[in-house]
Amino acid sequence: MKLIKNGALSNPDWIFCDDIDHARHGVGQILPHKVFLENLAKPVDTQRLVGIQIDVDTDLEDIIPYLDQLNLIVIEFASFVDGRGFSIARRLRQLLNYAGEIWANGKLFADQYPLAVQCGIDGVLVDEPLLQRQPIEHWREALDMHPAFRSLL
Amino acid sequence: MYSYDTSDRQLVHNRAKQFRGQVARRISGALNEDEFRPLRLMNGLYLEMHAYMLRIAIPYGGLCAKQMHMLGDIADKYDRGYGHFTTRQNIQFNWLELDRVPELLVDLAKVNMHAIQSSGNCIRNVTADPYAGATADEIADPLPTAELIRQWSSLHPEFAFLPRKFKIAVTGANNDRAAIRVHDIGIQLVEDEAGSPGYKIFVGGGLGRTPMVGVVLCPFLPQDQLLAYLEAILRVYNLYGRRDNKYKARIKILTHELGIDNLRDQIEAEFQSTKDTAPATGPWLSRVKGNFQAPSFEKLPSGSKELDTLTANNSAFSRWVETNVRDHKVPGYAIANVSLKPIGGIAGDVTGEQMHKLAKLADRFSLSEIRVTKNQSLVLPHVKQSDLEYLWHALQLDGLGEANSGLISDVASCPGMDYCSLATARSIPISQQISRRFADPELQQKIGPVAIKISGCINACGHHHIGQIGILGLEKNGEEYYQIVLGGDDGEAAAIGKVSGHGFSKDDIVDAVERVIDTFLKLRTSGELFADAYRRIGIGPFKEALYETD
Repeated sequence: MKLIKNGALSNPDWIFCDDIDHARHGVGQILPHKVFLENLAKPVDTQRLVGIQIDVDTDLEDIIPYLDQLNLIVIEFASFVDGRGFSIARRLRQLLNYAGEIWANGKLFADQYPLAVQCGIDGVLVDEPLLQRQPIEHWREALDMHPAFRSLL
Repeated sequence: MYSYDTSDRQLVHNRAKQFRGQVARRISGALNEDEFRPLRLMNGLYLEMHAYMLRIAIPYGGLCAKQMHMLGDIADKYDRGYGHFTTRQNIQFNWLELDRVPELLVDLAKVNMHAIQSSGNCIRNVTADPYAGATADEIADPLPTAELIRQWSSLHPEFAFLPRKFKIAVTGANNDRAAIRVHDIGIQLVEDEAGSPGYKIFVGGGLGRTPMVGVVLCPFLPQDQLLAYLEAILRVYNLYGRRDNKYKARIKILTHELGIDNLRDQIEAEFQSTKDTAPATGPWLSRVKGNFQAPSFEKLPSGSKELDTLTANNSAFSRWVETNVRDHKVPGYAIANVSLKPIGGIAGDVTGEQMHKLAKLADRFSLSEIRVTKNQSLVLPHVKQSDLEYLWHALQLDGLGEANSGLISDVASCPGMDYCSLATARSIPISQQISRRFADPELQQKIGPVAIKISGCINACGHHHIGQIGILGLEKNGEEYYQIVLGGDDGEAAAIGKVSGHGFSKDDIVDAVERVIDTFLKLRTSGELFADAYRRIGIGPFKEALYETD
């Protein structure tokens, strides 16, 4: 899994975990949002980076009280024709003033990258087969080529 | 008319370049067919029965002469010498080769045109009253608002992958010529008691297989809140519209399932929380208005004695004036409807040569402006009354002078099975037969205004639900048959027509339409219009006439 951010490819310094106790020092943990909510009472390493994974059906109301504890929110795109993730990102930014990182994971392809960025998504996680078909140059070009949406400029 | 500024131009040029890259990546395999499909649709490109079809956006149906010339060039250069104006004020070219489409888009961009969002599950091309800015019955010109919506919705990153397509129509008049009540969102310019400008917002109208008339979502929205409110509507729809069944995915179904009060509460909550950070309407609308050039009307006396004499002496011209010409808000001017429905012709089809001639006529007689109507005809909105006779002669020479606007031979029709891969029956031959059957000008005048609309499948692109006589083409055991729908209306008294009963074969459908008309002529009171007679007597007598031999 690679991360595309600011038009560049990198290895994400975060890992997906199903369990809060599997934290590794120096590596950010991306927890399913339910696991995060279930473990709120546990004492945590205050230095640790905390991220959660939400899908397009997640009720944002549940996580609003904890937004300032989160360094990263990963939105799962179940299908590339399902644009709910774009609205969720804009809600996080515009409605909830969330200032941490937002990534997209799942079914997004290069031509949707500029839409994601314009909606407030910082990075997109991509797998190897997709990268082979659509190398980083395609994502960068999509970003450069896409006419900017005027009001968000 | 609106003049493109630098950023408008940059956007359409970039878009053309971007699509060229997307086509190249589809050919190389970098984009698979599933990924490419929404991209080509958002550029208006369909794969139809025989070839690729490109639907070019004509925002609010407005064209200048130069743009019409370019459409004429495109018809000859890329197509088979003609184009087809649609029920959504756009134009379609039906015989294209995929690899030439990027070049076509570059040509279009040269005259500030594009095919952005003329298809796909996104906010489609915005439509408006074709008499906008010319008619006396509007409180203000709706086109700056329509242009604002075009700009806001074009490439909006949040709303490119909605549950389903989304259509917005705008009018500035009480007399609704934009069918705002059968759009996902309908917008009417209104004023509050203090005279401040605002909008009445309708939601949840639509045709297709579940036709519905829209309901009032907001009776008065202050003008400067429009974009924030539209964003709230679209966001609620994007998040909560159904995605499990494409036939239940339009906002009309969400409106119906949630109930208008519940939907309004959700939109209001979203609006209240985001209105301060949403795109600001006021400055944007001012900028748009600044780029609209007002038509330079001459100061003319009201009425034209010359015109009165000419109409008195020439019955054919007089009939055209009576049928196709409407009052203009400026003294001495008129609104001229140009019918694209010659008797026996194909509704909305225009040759490249005709397009060039229309462009020249618009340049000479209508301050260079042309409008496309939802009834697949054209309007020259600003014609001096003293020029009408010359214009009529010129239109006659080009096969564009049919005096039938709004009459029975002015049939609206989708392309049907002659072109469309979704269609279940042909529409064009039926519309041609009806037009021939009622060709007699005296008979047409006697019948008066009646809107016949034909769709070749349940998707209803021919708007049959809102025809006073609607015809729906279906298929059973390999045979085409046609249902009749009566009593539809697309205006301020919007109504969905009722199915009369079982369908008719392609050989019987025109006789059936004639029986409907005969019944009307028999039962009407003196001078009564078809729509009024239907409202008075209901569907009963028509059913009796249609099925009396059963």
